[in-house]
Amino acid sequence: MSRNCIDIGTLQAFLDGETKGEETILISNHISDCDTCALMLAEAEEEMSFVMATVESDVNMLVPTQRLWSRINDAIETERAHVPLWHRIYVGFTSMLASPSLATAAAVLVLFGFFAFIFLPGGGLDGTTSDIAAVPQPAATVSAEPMPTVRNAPPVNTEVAAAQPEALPVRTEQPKASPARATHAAYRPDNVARPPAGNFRPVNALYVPGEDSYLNTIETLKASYDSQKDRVLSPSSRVSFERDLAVVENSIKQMREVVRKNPNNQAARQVLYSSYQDKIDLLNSVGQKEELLASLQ
Amino acid sequence: MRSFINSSVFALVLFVGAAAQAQTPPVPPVPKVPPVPRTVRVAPTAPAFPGQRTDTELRVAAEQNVNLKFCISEGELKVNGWDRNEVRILVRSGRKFGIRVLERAPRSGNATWIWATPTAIEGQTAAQRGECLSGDSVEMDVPHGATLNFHGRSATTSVDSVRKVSLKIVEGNISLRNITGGISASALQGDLIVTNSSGSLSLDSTTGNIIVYGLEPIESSDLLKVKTNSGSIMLQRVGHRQIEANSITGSLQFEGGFLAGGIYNFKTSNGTLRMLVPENGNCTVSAAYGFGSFNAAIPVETITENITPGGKNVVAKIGTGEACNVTLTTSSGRIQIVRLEP
Repeated sequence: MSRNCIDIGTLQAFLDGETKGEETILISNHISDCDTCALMLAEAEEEMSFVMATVESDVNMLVPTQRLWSRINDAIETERAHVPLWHRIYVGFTSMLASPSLATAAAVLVLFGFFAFIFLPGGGLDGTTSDIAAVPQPAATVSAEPMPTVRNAPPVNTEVAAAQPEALPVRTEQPKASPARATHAAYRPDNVARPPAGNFRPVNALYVPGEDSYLNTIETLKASYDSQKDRVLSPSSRVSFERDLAVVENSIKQMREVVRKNPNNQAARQVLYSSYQDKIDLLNSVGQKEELLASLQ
Repeated sequence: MRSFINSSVFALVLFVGAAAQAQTPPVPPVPKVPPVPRTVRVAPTAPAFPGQRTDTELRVAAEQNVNLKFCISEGELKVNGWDRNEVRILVRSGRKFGIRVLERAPRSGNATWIWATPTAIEGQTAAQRGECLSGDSVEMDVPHGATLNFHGRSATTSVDSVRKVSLKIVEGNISLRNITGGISASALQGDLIVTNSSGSLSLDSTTGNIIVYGLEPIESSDLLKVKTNSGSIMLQRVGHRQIEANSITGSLQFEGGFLAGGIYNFKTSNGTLRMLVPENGNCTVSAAYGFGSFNAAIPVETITENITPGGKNVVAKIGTGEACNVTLTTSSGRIQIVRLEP
């Protein structure tokens, strides 16, 4: 045993990996030259292996070594480097609210803001709702271009049906109790006749090519007919007209069902188009009658 | 305590800012354009003028190709063609009228354009006077080459042996015979009968039947167009090569031969399409029907047949099928091809 022998504590730290780089090199060099210290190291390793075999799990969990502490510290630093800015602000804000005085001030601020929004003129809910509803933003109109009838046409494009603007429930006046709906309000000009209830096109309806142009024409003529029928048609004529219209609409309904089930059914399409044309002719005849009556003034 | 005061001051500053923002004047609403009131056009009922129901007869020299226009509000109208170069108008038990010569022939001085209209009576406004003839009956004798252009409210109309007719009648049956230069007739309520005429014809009725017999085209391109909403259509011995006939809720019957080069288009929504044709014809028939049926009582050769629920399509040949094309369309009606007895 030399005078410079390493004490048992240092050897134990060496075994535990708690020594630093230069110290570890010095200890290793000394042990290689000193048999006494090598023997002590061997005994210490033997004892340590015996103890560790017994309490390995408890020691590893409950007694972190210097190396473990350094790893933990490194991991913490790494995590801090990756924390986003908003999270730091949030943490700082919540820590500020831990102070009673700051929390009270924040509550007062929130109350002031709430009452100001409710009661001040021009800043309340009513003004916001009406302003948004009155802005003349025309309702979005997406209509499919009429497509020519082509034999062996591909299956019906379902996007055309989904884009029908009339199918959307348009509201021009929003209830005060639900101001959030004002953001969805759509504007419909007054001179645009709203189709009567029950005449909305189904949202998921499938339109065959060219059908949409028929529907647009019919919608226009129907609005004209509704405004003319009372003064143009006599009661008997009106009964006859309504009967004819019902027959045609029934044909359209039947043929639409057939075409929806089998879009490639050319015969059904031909009959469907013919029925649409019949309906247009029917509605148009009322306008012609009004013109004739007006010319007889 | 100091931090509370600081926070309160900060809250007050924010409150004042929010109040100033809230008092910003709102966006003015866009003024709504008031809708333009719709012009109501209602034809007044025929005015009655007590004491004016007299017989009136007027004559005027006219060219053979004279053009006569008038309006009739009520009465029975009879127009006959004659050989004279003269127009004669007789109104029985009706309003007095006059004949205005709008144009004369340069050489003879005869009228080439005539307008028959009620005469002005003292105290009457133009609106009260109107423009329409009225009486129990209105008789007209015009040259054979005359062209009639008139419309009326309630009149039973009969026109015979003139060159060309264009008319619109609200109510009343119309009978047209021996019209040589074409017809355009529209009857909103009433039957329409056309016989032994020629030229391009357009016949339209809203609720009445249309019967056509013995028509001939002047040119091969002359079109026969027949349409009624709820009436039936009967076409018999028609020589036109282009025929469009459409009845929405009524039936349609065609009787005669299909001519070479012809294009025939017959439609009905839920009526019966009945074709009486000779079995030695030579035509291709395309029948499209939804829930109806197709039945041929003469020998036909089926080219294509597509029978699916709700939509059937049959293309068949009569003879070689090369001479003409016939399209038959119905939604829920029946299609029948029946042999025409020679």
